[in-house]
Amino acid sequence: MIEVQDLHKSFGEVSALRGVSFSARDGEITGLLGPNGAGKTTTLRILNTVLSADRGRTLVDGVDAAKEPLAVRARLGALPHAHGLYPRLTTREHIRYFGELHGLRGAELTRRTDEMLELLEMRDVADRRAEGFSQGQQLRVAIARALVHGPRNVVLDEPTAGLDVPGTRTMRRVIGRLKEEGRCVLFSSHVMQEVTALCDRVVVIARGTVVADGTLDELRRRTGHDNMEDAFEAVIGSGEGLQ
Amino acid sequence: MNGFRQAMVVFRKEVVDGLRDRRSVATACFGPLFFVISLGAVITFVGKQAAELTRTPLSLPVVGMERAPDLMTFLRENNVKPHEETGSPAELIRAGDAKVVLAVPEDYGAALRAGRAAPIQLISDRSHTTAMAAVGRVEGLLAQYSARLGALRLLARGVDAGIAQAVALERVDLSTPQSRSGELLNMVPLILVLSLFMGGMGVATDSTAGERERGSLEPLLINPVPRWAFVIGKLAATACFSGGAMLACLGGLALLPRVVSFTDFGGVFALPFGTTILLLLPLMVTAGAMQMVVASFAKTFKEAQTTLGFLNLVPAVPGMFMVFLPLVPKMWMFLVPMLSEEVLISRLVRGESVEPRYLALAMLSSLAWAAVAVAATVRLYRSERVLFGATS
Repeated sequence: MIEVQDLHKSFGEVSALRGVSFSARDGEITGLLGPNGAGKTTTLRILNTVLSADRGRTLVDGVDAAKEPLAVRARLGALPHAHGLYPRLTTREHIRYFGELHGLRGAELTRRTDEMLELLEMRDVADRRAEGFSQGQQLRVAIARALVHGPRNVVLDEPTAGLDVPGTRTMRRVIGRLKEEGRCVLFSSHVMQEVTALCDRVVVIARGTVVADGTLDELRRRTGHDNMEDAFEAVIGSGEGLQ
Repeated sequence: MNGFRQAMVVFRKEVVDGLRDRRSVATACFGPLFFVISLGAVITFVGKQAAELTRTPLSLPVVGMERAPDLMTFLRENNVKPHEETGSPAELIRAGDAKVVLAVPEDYGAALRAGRAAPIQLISDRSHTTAMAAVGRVEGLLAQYSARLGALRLLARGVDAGIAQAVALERVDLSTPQSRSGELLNMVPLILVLSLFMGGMGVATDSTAGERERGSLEPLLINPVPRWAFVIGKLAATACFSGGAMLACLGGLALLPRVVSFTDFGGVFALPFGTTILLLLPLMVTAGAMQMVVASFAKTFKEAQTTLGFLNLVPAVPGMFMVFLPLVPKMWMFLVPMLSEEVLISRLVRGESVEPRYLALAMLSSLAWAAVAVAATVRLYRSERVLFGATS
């Protein structure tokens, strides 16, 4: 369960967030949709505890991120906006590194690592160094290491950006599986189709505030548009920056 | 989970990653060895020059050899081989065929017989430093010859030769073989400290500015690890590479006396390895911490590398000074990291004793500076600025 309450954040003169509030429930996929520059990445960074909010707070399973950042990080699995790899480490070593940082050891670490390799379909490149991996392979390694500790809450920033068709399919399968397992999945996207295809609920964010929040049906009813893409454009006020 | 165990996880990962980085490893191994080889080459060269000064026969072109047969005999007795030369002495020097030429004028014999000062010319180009050894040697012999003839003349007139000598100079040389070679061995502290800095540089940049530039810092920071544990793990890895480079340098130095002859050079090499390693242990941490703080605050990998290039020159400054003018250790020097180590090693390498309290003071002050650098880095890692580089 993720709760975001009235987040404000400025970078110098630029105010990136002006009161962002929403929640993402367990066993549901919540999409954070908005054009580029709307404040999606900033919101997720505050949620991931790498940025601090000027005002407002975030709770993960009821734990306040500002007060107990370590406890929040332990409950999160995150694919941040930047998710670079270590070119000289293998896929397996990437997964093990993060697993160890989460306190996994011995047989459990090995078992979890193998599960991740299986889930992300990376057995064939398990012991290859990340140097020269395709964008899709890099993204799958980044997701595998983020999920190795089996987090209850999963936060993914643009998880399908730059993926080819099979890569996108794998990603959708992984996200669906996380939902089935009852986890809380929050992912951001500026691709409307992606959100429509996957999400139970959508939080539409534009210019640093939440402009719509609800299930896809609720959004359709509210805007009077049957087509989701028209509905999104209607709540944001323009289709600019969306795909 | 305990932060120290997580720091160990970070440490292990950075060491593995660093060892796989060929450039880091090459710099840490071959950099120090290159320094040692250079030092060996200089020692061999200086030794050869010293040998030339006394032992090897000096071939001396002489214009008008037949005018001074007695002088020629004296020169031959003193390991100089004069041979007749007909060309112009200046041409010979300019063409590089000779370093020094002796010219005996026609009136040499007449002046000698008349009991006047006999003219003789020594031609050389003093801007050529390599000629100086030969010039000095011939000058010394001519002065001896002149003094001998002068004494004989006084004796012939019934005067004690001692009367011409108002002051009897006796040279008392307190230098030991170690201290005689000191000037060159002052390079030893310099190359040790430089090696230490060069060794850690790759890992220090790659694990901080590099981590940010690759985009792997943000996912790393989302792990439930206290920020100080990242800093400690990365610092420990950097210090290990510094230590590796230092050991490579010491290993090279240990082999040096087997490869290079110190006898011609006139000194011995007496570096106590145990004490040196002990002294440099805290400096490994200090160097790593200073490199990490610089690389962490840099905005890009490139900026970090450039700035660290400059930082590496800092320890070189006191070292360079000492190569030319050995410093007398003063209390304040022991509070300056790198300077303190260099001053102490320059004493150790010359076989001089170092008081344990100075050793302790140098180690403690280095550790104190390391603590300051670590605190600054941890502070940066705790703030959100670490994601973007502190200068942005």
